[in-house]
Order: sequence, then C-alpha cells, then structure tokens
Amino acid sequence: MKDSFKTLKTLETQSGTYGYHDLTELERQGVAEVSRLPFSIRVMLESLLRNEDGYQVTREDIEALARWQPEPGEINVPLKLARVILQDFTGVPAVVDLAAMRDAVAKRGGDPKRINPVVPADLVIDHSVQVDAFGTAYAFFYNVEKEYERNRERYLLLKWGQEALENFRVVPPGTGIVHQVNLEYLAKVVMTEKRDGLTLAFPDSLVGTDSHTTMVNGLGVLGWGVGGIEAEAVMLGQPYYMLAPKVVGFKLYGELPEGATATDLVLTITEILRKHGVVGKFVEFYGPGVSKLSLADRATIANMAPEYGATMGFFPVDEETLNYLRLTGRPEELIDLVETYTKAVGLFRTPEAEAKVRYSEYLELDLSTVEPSLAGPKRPQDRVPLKEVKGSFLAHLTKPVKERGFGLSEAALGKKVLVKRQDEEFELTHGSVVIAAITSCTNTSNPSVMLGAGLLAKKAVEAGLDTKPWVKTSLAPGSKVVTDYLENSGLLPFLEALRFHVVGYGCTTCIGNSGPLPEDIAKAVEEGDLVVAAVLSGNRNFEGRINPHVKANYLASPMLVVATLWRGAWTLISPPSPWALTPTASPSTSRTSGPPWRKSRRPSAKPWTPSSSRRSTARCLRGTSAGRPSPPPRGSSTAGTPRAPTSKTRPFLRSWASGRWGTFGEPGFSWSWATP
Amino acid sequence: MGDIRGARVLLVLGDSVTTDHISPAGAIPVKSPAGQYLISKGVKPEDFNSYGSRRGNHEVMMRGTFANIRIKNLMLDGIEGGYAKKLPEGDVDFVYNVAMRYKAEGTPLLVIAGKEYGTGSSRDWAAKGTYLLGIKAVLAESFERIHRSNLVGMGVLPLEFLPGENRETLGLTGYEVYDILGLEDLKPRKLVEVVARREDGSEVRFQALARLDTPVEVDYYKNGGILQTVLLHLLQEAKAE
Repeated sequence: MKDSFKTLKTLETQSGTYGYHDLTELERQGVAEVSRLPFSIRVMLESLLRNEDGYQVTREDIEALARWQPEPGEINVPLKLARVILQDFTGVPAVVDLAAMRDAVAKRGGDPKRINPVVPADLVIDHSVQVDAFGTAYAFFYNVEKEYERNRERYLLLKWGQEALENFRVVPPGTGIVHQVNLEYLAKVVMTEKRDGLTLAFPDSLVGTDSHTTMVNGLGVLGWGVGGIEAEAVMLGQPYYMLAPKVVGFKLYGELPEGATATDLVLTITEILRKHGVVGKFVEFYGPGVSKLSLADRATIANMAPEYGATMGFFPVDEETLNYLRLTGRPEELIDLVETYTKAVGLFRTPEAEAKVRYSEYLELDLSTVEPSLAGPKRPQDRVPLKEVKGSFLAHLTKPVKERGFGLSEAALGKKVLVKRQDEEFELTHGSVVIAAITSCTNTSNPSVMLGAGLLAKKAVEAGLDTKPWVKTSLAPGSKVVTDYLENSGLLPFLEALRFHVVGYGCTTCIGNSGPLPEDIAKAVEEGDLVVAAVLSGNRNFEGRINPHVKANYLASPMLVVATLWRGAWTLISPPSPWALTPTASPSTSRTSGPPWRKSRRPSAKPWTPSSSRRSTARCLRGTSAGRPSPPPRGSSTAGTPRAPTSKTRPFLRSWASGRWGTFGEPGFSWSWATP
Repeated sequence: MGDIRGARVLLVLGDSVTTDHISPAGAIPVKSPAGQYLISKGVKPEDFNSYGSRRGNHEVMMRGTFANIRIKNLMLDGIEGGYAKKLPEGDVDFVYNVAMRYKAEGTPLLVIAGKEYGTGSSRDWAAKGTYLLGIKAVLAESFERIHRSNLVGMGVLPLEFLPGENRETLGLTGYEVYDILGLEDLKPRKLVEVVARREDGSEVRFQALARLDTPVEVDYYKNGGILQTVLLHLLQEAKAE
C-alpha cells in the first residue's frame, strides 16, 4: 500500500496502539479543507487513503474526493468497503457463484479452498418465514418448521457455505431481521485489521444485498443496498465504483411532542424528502434535534432511505452512538476505540464540528411539528395525519384508480358480507382491518414504539377489550432482544391476550409473506369485492405487496397497529381520541386522556440492559433448533448437496470450462460451464 | 480478447429499456421457455413461483432474459413481448430459442438500444442473462450507471454511439452483420471501429465509444468479467508462492 500523503499515524487507546489514517493531516498539508466536508464524505475519503495502491485506488482519486464541493461534478470513487451483508433471497445466488468459482479453480488444478470472501460477509436468513400460524403460542415454532420444510434445499446450500467458506457466516432462520442484527450485533462502528505488523483502525462500512441496509447509517456506519454482482465483487475484494454524490444537510431541531413517535417522524421526513428529490444523493442529519433522538429513532429514519429515495440517511457518530454500543453490550474496549478514533480523525459529531460543514442542499424540520400519522393506502410517501385518516380512506374508496384511489361506485360503498362461524358471526365491509402486523426492520427495533404498543395493549386488556375475530394478527420482532425486553417489562402477555403472539423473527408481512387470510375471510373479500385494509408497522405498502386480498395498506407505528384491534375497521379510527379504549372511539366514552406510552420514549435501562443484549446476541449465531435440518456433509466441494431446479450454478466462467453447454455430471448443484 | 466478427443483432430496442424489461422478476408464464423448462423438470405450474425466487438457477433465468411481455423488439414490426428473429432465415421465435440457434452455429450477438439503457433497479440478472444468451456487446445511445458496470462485470462490452449519432442517423435496422474492431489493445474509453454490412453488400462504418471507464474495467473485460479476474489473480498468486 502507498501513503502518498503520509497520513498513517498511531493512536493510543485502553486496548493498545493502533495505526490509522489521519484525515485532518490533509488539511494541515493544505491538500483540502477536510473539516468542511460532510461526515459521510470523510468516511469515503478515509477508505481511499487506507487503500491507495496506485492501481485500483490512486493518488488522483484521493485528491479529487478530498476537494469535494457542494456541486461535486464528476468524481469517480473506487470505494473499498469493510464488509458485506446478505439476506437469503439475494444471498443464495451469491453463494452459488462462489461455489462455481471453487469448482472452476479445482478444474484448473488449483486449490478450491482459496476461494473465499476477501471481505467478511454475513448472511442473515430472514426473508423466507411466512405467517402460516398466528394468534397462538405455538405460532413461532409452527412457522419456523414450515419455513425449513419449504426451503430445505436452499438452507442446505447456505449451510454448506457456512461450513466450507472462510470469512462467511450465516445467521440462521428465526433469529432476527438482517438490519437489526447488523445494528445490535454485527456492526463494529470502528473496525480493525492487521496489516504489515500494525493493527489498523478504520471506520466500519458495508454494502448489503437489501435496500434497507441503510438502517445501519443510524449508527454512523456507511452503507447501502446494492445488486448481487456488485456485492460479489466487493466480497471478492474489488472496489465499489460510484460517483461522489451530492449531500443534503437535513437540520433537525426542537423535540418530538407527546404522542408522536419515531414512526410519525420518519413518515414526515419521507414525505419532505420525496418532495425535495434526493435520488442518488446522501442525506446527512445534523442540528440540536439529532441529539434528542435515541439511536433506535435514528435507525428508523435511516432505514427508510430507499423510500425517500436517498442512497443513505446518515447520522454521524456522537455521544448517543456510544450509549447505544454500551446498551447493546459491546465490549468496553471497542467503545473506547470508537470514541478515541472518531475524535482523532474528525468523525465525531459535535455542534462545533457540524457548524463548519458545507452541504449541497439544505432542509430543516422542527420536530415539535410532527403529528401522529400513517402512510397509505398505496405508497409510503403518502402521509395522512391520523386525524384525517377516516376521511382520507373514505375519499380514496371512490377516487379513480389513476389518482391512487379504488374507483368504487357510490352503489358499491355500502357493501357488506356476512361471515358465519361455528360460534360467532360478523360482517365485513370496506375498510375492515383484516391484517394487523407489528413487523419490519423499520420499527420493531425501536424500544420506544414497541414498549408503547405493549403499554397500549395492557390498557386495552385491562379495559376488557378484545381483538375482532377477522383480524389476522402477528408480531414479528426484529430480534430476540425485543422479545426479551417485552418479557422483562411484563408486557408480552398483554400483547398475546390481543393475539399478538410472536410468529417469527423475519420480514414476514412487510415483504408480502403475510401468509393466506383465513379461508372464510378471503372468500368474503372476494364475494363482496371489498377494499379491506392491512395496517403494519412496515416500510412499504405498494398495492399487492402485502397480501393479494388486501387493497388498502397503511404504514403506522406499532401503537397504531394495536389501536385498530378492538375496532376492526379503518373507518372507526377517528378523531379526536384515537387512543380511546372503546370499540367506537367516541370521545364521550373515552377512558384515557392521552397516549399511555408517554413514559416509554426513553426506556430506562430496566427492560433492556447490556447483559440481556449479550444473552440475546450470543444466541444470534445459534438460532432456533426447531426444524433445523441435519448438517450436510463437510468438505470444500459441493458434492452431497441436494439437486433440484431452484439452485444451479453458473456457466459464467467460460474460459475455465470444458467449452460445452451442459452439466459436468457432478452430483450436487450440477455445476455447469459453457462457452456461449 | 480479440475483435468481435460476424455478429448478428438479437434485439433492436428503443429508449429507457429497464432492467425489468431485460430480466423480469414476476410470474413465469407456462408457455415461455422458462415455464417449459420447469415443466420438463417435473415442476407443476402452481409451484413455478417467480423469476425472483429462481435466481439460484441460471437455466430458468437465462430463459427469462428479455422475456418481459412488454418489451418491444423493433426488428419485429410492432410485435410486443420477448421475441427475436433468426437471420438470415427470418424465423421469429422466443429470444432464448433464437439465441440458442445462433449459439449452435457460433454466431456472436449484439443488442442495439436507445438512451438510458438499463434503468431501474440494479438487477444483476439483467447482465448475467445477457451474457448467458451469448450477447457480446450492447450498442446504445447511453447507459444507466449500474447496469453498465454490471455488463462490464459479466464481460459484455458496453458501446456508446458518438454524440449526435444513433441507429436512425446511421440507418441501422438490425439486419446487418457486424464487426467490432480495435478490441485487441483496449484502454479506458477507447473509440472502436464498427463495420455493419447490409444484406445488399453495402457497408456502414462508424466509431463507437467503448464504455470501459477505468483500467480496472478494461482488465475485467479482458479477463471475461469480475469473477474471472479474481480467479486469475488467485491462480497467479498460487503460482508465485
């Protein structure tokens, strides 16, 4: 490695001496005004300094990025990232390609074991679990078992990858959602690597094969979602090529009012940024309001970057980042390294430091103006204030489809379908809520909204309310940490009393794995051509995504998801008291005056403690034992893995191949090579 | 990496062709080559699942490449869907079937397109499928950033018409036979020579910009793609040890 600008220095920390590339040195040498660069650009610049080799990363690349301007022009950045995360949908093809490369090397007489990810890769299995069983204590075990049954072949391949490949870890199904696992466990914020006898410290950074990879930006870690080829290239040690983006500075000030949640805030931010236009840009948050946001709130905002269209929604490292690392049980030496390192290189956010930064564009939001909101019925950026949701829904029923309505005729509005069960009967109408799901990486990682949902459930149960029989309920936490703190705070039984039993740890309803509706409900919806609704604490709601029978899909905080249960219809969520604990929410019979989770915005260390985090994360790489397939044979070749048409390997490596189409007749995934 | 000679055009496409046109993610129709392949493997149509869920299987994915029902191959006078014409015979068939016939006779293939080729999500199968059909180069007025880099990563050459030139100004129909010359000593953003021979024997010669933007990309292309480049380096390291 070269060091044209002589930025390599050493740093003393509690855990010893580290080498590092000092960005501020560039300013002292008069190369560029680094202190005026957005923090996210500084992280990219550090990567160039550390990886300068005169071939993939050159001196000119460093100079060009160091001189980034608010109007950056065309600056090509060969970015070397520290790690890669994958989920099972996109990760399977990547593992198949790696296996194919191993076979190619073996056929050329090389050692297949040399093919491994150069950059550490973690694959979290979260996309395959479906909500088959719900509303019962055995839902989780049943769904996990079904998941293994359906995906046996794919999981055996991944298991092979875990056993055979170095630098590649698989977090098993039933553990958590990749982005929350990343936030709580995988992300180091500052990484270390031995190089030439010196341990280098440098900022954590990654690409992931999932668009919500940006969630980790809430922790000051650079990263975003990419396609499979790009992720494979990064895994194999190639740079990720990009143009230096514009960076939008988004100032937050004030404080969220009582009753408004991180979900309301992110829906508001999404609406603002979609209007402004941030596609292809970074968004960096600054200002006094940032310090008032918990790390979980920041992660919720960073998570939805793809919905507002930005490449990243970045929160630089600050005091709150260190607090969160402590809360999630990261080792004290790491926390000390993060603090010492980020302060030494100018990556630690302080009011003075952020005042110097020049952004390409400026936006701002007074947090005190955020109100309880939902988004829907068809797009995440269509925010509706809670107080207007009933009117908005009714208006959408008759609006033409072109204007994102449902195009119903006046005559169809009063449609009702009677559903008869053995011991009960009820009517479904337009607006009946048939799915209520507390799910997704966006919200279930956030104790303030999860505990809030638990508190509302407690109040509702104590008031004698019950979930309407047509609502398919599901609770899919982002990780076991969530279940632990809901249990520790004594709130889980109340959620379960409303039939919010844990159905799995994964994306579930949010990516359309809501599972089928009960047969009689689905039949009634078809019969009446009803516009029924889902309400979920997720990030996307495009038509047809959540469930084929459900046309109206609203994104909302977990509390609001709970608040629909005893009403059972969208049209009954009405002002002025959405939190009223009565079936109809009429103000005169309201039994509470305000949101019951007031005190949960800043959870005390009680329900969630570093030691409970450590217990949960220790389970991370073990997962659940339910339905786990027996381990495949060990070894570096893929022989013995099952053969079926869902996974086959690649004929890409033509010059390494025998020069014909077809398979090589090997068992396993019938690796085939070809000369097109 | 030598010149491309005697290439045929598989598709002529308009502006803003998306990665979803190139590699659809949705349902697999029973009558499509991918559907027929699955049936031949004993998969029932109700278990077809989607293209998206079959990304582990190149046999399905390459049959789904350019199979979007809304794609328009301008060589086919208004027919919509994933079809192409085998030349010089002139038979129209699914893109996959035509590509395999060209492959059988050893004919390299090209795609000609308009502006913003490959917009939309960064679907890597759009590049993988292109390569697997035997397409050696895509000649377009402009490329979307990620898809261009994915094409290079798969060893497919992105070529850009010079400013002011396009398929229409040059009078190209897709019925020509193409040579692409000057690929032996590639360097970043090199102008290469394209010769298109019409059916009547006349020739159109023009230059196009090879959109290999950096020395690293030139190496990827020369080695046949990213995976091959990494393999090559590894084997060289092994020899050196």
